[in-house]
Amino acid sequence: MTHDRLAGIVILVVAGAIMLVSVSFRSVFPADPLGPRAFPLVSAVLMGLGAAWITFRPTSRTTDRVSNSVWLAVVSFVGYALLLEPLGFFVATVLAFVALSLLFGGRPVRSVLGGAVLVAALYLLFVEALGLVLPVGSLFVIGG
Amino acid sequence: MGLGPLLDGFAVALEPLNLVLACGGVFVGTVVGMLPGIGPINAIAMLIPVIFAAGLAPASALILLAGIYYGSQYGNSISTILLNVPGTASAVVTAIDGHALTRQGRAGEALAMSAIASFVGGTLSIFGLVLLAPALSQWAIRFGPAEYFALMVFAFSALSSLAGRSVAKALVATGFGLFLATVGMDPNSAVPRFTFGQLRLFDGMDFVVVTIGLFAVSEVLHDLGATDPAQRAVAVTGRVGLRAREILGAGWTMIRGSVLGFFVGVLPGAGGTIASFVAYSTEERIKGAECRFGEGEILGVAAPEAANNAAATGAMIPLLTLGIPGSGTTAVLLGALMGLNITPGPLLVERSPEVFWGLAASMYVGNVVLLALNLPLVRVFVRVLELPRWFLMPAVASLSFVAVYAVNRSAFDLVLMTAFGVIGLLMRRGGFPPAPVILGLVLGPLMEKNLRRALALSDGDWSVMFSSWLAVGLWMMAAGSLLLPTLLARIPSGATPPATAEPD
Repeated sequence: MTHDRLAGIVILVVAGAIMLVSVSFRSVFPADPLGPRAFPLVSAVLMGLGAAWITFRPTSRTTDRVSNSVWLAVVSFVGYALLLEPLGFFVATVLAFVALSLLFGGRPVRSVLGGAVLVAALYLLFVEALGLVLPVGSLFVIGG
Repeated sequence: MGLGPLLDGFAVALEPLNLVLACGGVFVGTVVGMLPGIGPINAIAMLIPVIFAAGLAPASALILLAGIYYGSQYGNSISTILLNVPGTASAVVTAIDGHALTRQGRAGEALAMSAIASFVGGTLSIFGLVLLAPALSQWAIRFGPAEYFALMVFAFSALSSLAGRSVAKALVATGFGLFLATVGMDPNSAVPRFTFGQLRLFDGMDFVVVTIGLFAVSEVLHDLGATDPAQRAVAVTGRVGLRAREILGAGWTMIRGSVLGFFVGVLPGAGGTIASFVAYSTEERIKGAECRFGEGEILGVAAPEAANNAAATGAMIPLLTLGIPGSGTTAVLLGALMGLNITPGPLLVERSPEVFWGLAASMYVGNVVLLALNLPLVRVFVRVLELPRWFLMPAVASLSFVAVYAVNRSAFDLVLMTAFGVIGLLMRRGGFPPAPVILGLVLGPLMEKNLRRALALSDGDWSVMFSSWLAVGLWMMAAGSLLLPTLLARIPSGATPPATAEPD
């Protein structure tokens, strides 16, 4: 089975699921002849047509594996999402930076230093200059 | 109409203080516009309080605003070209060839072309603004829901030239974008669609989250997994500028892009996005046979950059003459103008001509300063690529995190961003183009709203879609745009090899 055919079948299943869900959307207003289901259905039909075409006329040849380091990076991103609010912007961002930096072949000490410099720069730019609010970290909050 | 008021406007714009403000605005705008997810709209929105706090005269404030606006637009192009991180939907097309050039070590040329094309687009469209503003505002009003819908179908028909190798895959990507656009509470019927009970999804998919995921995050993941060094962004090996011949060679491309961008930009809505997509595909149709669009073609940078800058000026027309902001950026500008005690509308040109002409002059000065300041700086910007990968890629990721989190202060958005990063990576590997997803996401809600409005007004009668000549014309353009390439491809396929075909 080629790469394209696999992708085509997966997308067909997704498009089918979208259609099944869409059918249940009903409008209660009479002044809306098209209703809320038409657009999701059209989008699913477009996806389905393209996917059917790919499935029956696959052009791509290989199925290259996604390397483990990519999945580790994804894990570090999700970890960042979970840890940002408890650990705060500084700690969480340095951690995520170092993790990713190591995956890209950076040396540990340099990665930590690089992360610290970048986080300081981001803080100055986003918080001091642009006035955005970033989490301090609920674990460290002492006063207000 | 006399040129006297315009000259007065220039006299004000060229005062030393105002020139300093223009330079400062362009510089700050460029830096802020470079940040992923911030983009021009947010750059202006964030800097408006600063402008008011400084207590500047209205003319000076307008010049500073124009500088920030042009600067942030260009800053957005810098991150698009160098890092494949478009901050607005209209920059997504620039990413295709712009980033491909970066991969070939030609980032310097791409950035220079982007600055020059933006300048040409800005200049031509300011002439258009001065000469045609009153007439065009009438044109914009004639666009009802049916015409809008047809215009957007026309924009989608341009997708066939973005498809790269597979039209089927572009179709899937478009459908996916349109699907993402339907996620959230349906504004017409209040039915929640595809929210899976997640309250976070009721507001729909945020453009910033999807774009940063599909482009920036997937770029980082892709770079990490790329075993082939040719797939990575590389430091500049080529020249950091363009020869006069190359600039002139893009002359017609920039002019066509500007004219197209200007007229599409006048229409309130997604002007810049439609303009850049249509300009790119028009160029691909005209020059496609001799150029390599999609694989690092400098004209593929020139066309959308000229178009989206021209569209930005075009969008000023409904704002100034009708008081209708046609885009996010002009909505923010409207707020700024009101804050300066200037009420845009039909009476603006009559009652306070100095403001209208002053604005035109300040936009022009902002445009010139942008070129003068940023063209020499291209060699500085491209050095970003000389940073080691262990620093650059985590830095792009960290910037993305902060930008995405800042939108809604929601950690859920970070998870969503990561999911789109993985989807983007899989799409790249499978050869699915990401640009149509963004087009679908941005235009989808507008299409749905206009189609449903048109049908609601006509009581479900579909003939309303063809009830005006304008709509019929747009439908014909869409059909032509879809069918023409197929027909043209058929003609030379006999004896002559396609390479010698002359499409124009």
